[in-house]
Amino acid sequence: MSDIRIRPFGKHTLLIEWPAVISPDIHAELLAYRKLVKLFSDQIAETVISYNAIALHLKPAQSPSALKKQLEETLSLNEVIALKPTVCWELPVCYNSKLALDLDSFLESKQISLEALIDLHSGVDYHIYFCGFLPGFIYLGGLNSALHQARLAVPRTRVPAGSVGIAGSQTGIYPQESPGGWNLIGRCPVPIFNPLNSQRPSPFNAGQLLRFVAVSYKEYLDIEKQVASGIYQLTKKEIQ
Amino acid sequence: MIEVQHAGFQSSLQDAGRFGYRSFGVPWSGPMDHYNAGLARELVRNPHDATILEFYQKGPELLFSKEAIIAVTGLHFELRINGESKELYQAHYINPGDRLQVSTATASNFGYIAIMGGFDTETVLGSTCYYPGITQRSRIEKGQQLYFHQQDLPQVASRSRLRSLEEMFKVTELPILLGPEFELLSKEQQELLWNSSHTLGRNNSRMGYRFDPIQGLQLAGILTGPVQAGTVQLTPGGELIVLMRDAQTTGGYARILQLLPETISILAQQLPGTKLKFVNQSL
Repeated sequence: MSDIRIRPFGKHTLLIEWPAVISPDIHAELLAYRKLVKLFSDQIAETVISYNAIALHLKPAQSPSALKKQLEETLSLNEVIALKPTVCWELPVCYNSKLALDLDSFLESKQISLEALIDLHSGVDYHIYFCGFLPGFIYLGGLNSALHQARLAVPRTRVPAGSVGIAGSQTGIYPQESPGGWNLIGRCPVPIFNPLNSQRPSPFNAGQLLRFVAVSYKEYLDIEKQVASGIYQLTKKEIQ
Repeated sequence: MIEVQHAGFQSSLQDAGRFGYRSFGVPWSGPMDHYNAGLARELVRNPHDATILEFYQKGPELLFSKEAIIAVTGLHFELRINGESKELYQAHYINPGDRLQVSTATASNFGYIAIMGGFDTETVLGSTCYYPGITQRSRIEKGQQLYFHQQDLPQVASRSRLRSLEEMFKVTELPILLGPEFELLSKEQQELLWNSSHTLGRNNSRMGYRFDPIQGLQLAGILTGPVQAGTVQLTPGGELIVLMRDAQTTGGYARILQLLPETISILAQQLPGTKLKFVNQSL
């Protein structure tokens, strides 16, 4: 178990931090710790995680420094057993310039073929770290360094929902239409955030894996129809 | 029912906030100024989580087709009903056909219109707060119909008039706590931070307020981490960005300070160009 640091962050929040690196191992420890912290859920209103931090937003009248003391006294770090991913989601993506405004310029600037891009981008199990930035936006780790690309100099005012993009060393999916400066290389026909589902607005959990599966333009349109008629199911594979 | 004849600026509906979905990247939202929003609700005897209308600097023009009791709060807006000037911080009886206008503000940013029973709008993820990508609308628009929960109204609106909060919002200092990355500032930068008057910029919204850069005060970005309303971020370009009610749940700028919860409402009402000092309350 890594060294962690626990301190108040404002009047009603406690921040628990691991070393500031993007690492599936550290993140697995963090998730295991988050599970243990549920023992104190009577004091906690909401929990936000990132790559290396847990923010516990406390209920009114609860004190971050009192909870810090309780965590330090009762949670032995040796008890924390890092959890391995058990689920991999498969998300269809159509890599086609009809759906992705930056695809051609991206291939040109990287001097790679469309086939190579698809292999590099969809041939990987990405690690789901957390939700942030926009409602339902998931931070993914594991983008091949051959695909790293700086953000657009001038962000677009409208990026369509489902757009799959690359910014720096990150790849991600826009959960809804929004402004944005990512290089758009593909589009996913399946909505990944549904605010009308109050039980589970996003199907993904931190610590799971996600793989992009390349589909043709025709398959993209078929899936879009299935989504519209409510019969499409995302594929979820159990990992042994 | 109410028809929106003019929307005002950045007008939205807000209840107490959208709680329970931060782990999905959903902000808390809620009124920018809890004090004025709370007073508006009290004046029409609404519960603290009733949905109210918030506007920024310029109020809307509303045409009522049903009777209602309303109250408007905010500093130095002008309220007119059928062209006749009316008091803020007081409940007013509205008859069918009445036209309500709220003028431009000169002394503050946010104003509130509460209606007895509360506005009736879609609840998404447990809240009525407008937010892009969550509710169908992110702003109130011209021509839109607004609905409210009807109830039997008393014969006359309550006479009680609450004193405006004017004095509370006249501040030159903001009491503040240290944020997680405060320790990354050099001794000189810390002194700059405490000793400088920080000038509020023009580019402010429900997501964040910006202070003009101060020479010598900047920090590199951090690995994206949790943020909240009241987090003061320092950018590599030297801008101080205070996150407000609609801020994202995580961010990649150094979090050097954290406002006390009650101070967020005070900052929300400060005009562009206001000079403020931060005062360390962590001592």
